[in-house]
Amino acid sequence: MSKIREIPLSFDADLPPATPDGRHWVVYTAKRDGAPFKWAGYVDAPDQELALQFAREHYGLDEACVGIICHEHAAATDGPYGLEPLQPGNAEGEDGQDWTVFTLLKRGGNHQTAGTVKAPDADTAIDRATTRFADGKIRSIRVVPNSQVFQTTESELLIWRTHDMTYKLAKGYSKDVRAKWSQFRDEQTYEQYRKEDIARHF
Amino acid sequence: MTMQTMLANPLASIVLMHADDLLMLGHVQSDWTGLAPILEEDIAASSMAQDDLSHALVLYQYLAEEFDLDPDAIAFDRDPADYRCCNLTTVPDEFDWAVSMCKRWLLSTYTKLGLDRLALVDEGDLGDRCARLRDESAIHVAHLGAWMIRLGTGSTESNERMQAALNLLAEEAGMMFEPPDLGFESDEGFCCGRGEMFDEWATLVGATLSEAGLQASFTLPDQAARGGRRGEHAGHFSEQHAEMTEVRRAEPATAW
Repeated sequence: MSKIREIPLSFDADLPPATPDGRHWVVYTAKRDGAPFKWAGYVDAPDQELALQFAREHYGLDEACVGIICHEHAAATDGPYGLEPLQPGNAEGEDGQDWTVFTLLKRGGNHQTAGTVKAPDADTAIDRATTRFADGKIRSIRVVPNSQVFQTTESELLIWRTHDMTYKLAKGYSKDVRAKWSQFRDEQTYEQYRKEDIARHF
Repeated sequence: MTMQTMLANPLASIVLMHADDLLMLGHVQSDWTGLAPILEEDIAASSMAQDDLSHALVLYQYLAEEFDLDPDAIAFDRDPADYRCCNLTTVPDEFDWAVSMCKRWLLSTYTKLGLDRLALVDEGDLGDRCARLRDESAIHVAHLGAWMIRLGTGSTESNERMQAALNLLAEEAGMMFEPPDLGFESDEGFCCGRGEMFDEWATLVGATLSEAGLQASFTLPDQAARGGRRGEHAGHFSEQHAEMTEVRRAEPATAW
C-alpha cells in the first residue's frame, strides 16, 4: 500500500448532499467483426458518451472485444418470457421507426442482437420481431429504438490494450496462480525430502 | 552498451522523457484505485493507470533492446537526475480529483502529440510501437476530455474546483515542452519542432477548455528554463521516486 494512503482523509464540514444516481445502461460486446453483440453487463453514467467510455474499460478488456453497444435500461421493452420457446407469429409491416431486436437463446442465458424491424411502437415491434426471429428456439425478445442504441465509432474501435491483461481473466489468474502454487508445493516437497534424507543418513 | 550511452543519445532521451512521464503518472494515479468519486470511474481510471505503466514498459523495452539493457534497470535504477519526466507528472494531487483529472488530461494530450511524432520515426520498430500506443493514448484523451467538459459545466462548485486545479497546474504545464539537454539547441530539433508542438497542444486543450467554461493561460518557456526534463526535479519527484523504487532497492532481484 502506498504511503500516500496513510494520510487520513478529513472533511472540514458535512459532506455535500449526494448527487442523483447516473442513468442505468445495458452494455453488449461483440467478440469479432460481424458477430452479434452479446449482453455483457451494466454501467451507470450520466450520458451515452461516458456510458460507452466506462463500458470500454469495464467490459471491453475482460475478453476479446471489437465493438460495444449500449442503451439506456429504460429504453428497452422485453416481450413475454415463458418456459417454452417462442413460436413464430404472423404480425408484419414496414411502417414506423427502426428497432434493434435482441433475442434470448436459452433460459438463463443472455440477450444478443438478432437484427432490426420497423414498427410504430414497442409492442408492435415485439410482435413483428417474433414473426421474423422466433424459430421455436428462442425464449424471449427485447426491442430498443435504433435511435437509442449507441455504438463505439470507428475511431474508438481499439479496445484491446497493448499489455497482457490475462491476469484479469479467470483462466489467466487460475493458470498463473496454479503455476505459482505448483512451484511452491514442489519446493515444500523438496525441502521435506531433503530433511528426511539428511535424517536418514546422518 | 551502458546506461550512459543511452542517456547521451538524443532520440533515446525523447523516448525516455515520454516513458518517464508515463511511469510516474501511472504510479501516482494507481493511488486512486478504490478512492475515485464513483465506481465506474474508479475502474476506468485504474485501467488507464495500468495503460500508462504498460506504455512506459513498451518504450523502456524498445530502449532496452537498442542499448542492450534491462528495462527494469532503466525504469528503477537510474540516478534521480537521469529521469526525464517533467515536474507536472509528480505534482501531488492531495487526493483532489479535480487536480488529478486536470493533470492527467494535460499530460495525456501532450503525450498523444509526442507519440504522433515518434510514430513517424524510422528507427527500428519505434515508429510501430508508438503508433500503437498513440491509439490508446487517444482513448485516454477522449475519456479525460469528456470529464473536463462535464466537470467544467456541471455545477458552480465543480467549475470552481476545476478552475482552481487548472490555476495550480497551468504554469507547470508549459514545462512539459522543456527539451532534454542533448542535441536540441534549436526548437526545430525537438522532434519536429517544439514551438509547433506547443501550438498544436495549446489549440487542442484550448478548445476543450472553451467548451468546459474554463480558462487557463499557457506559455512556452524559454529554452533556458530548466526543470525535470533536464534532471532538475522538484521535491515531490524525489518523494515519489523514493517510494516507487523502495522494493527494487531493498530486493533488487525480486520478481513476482
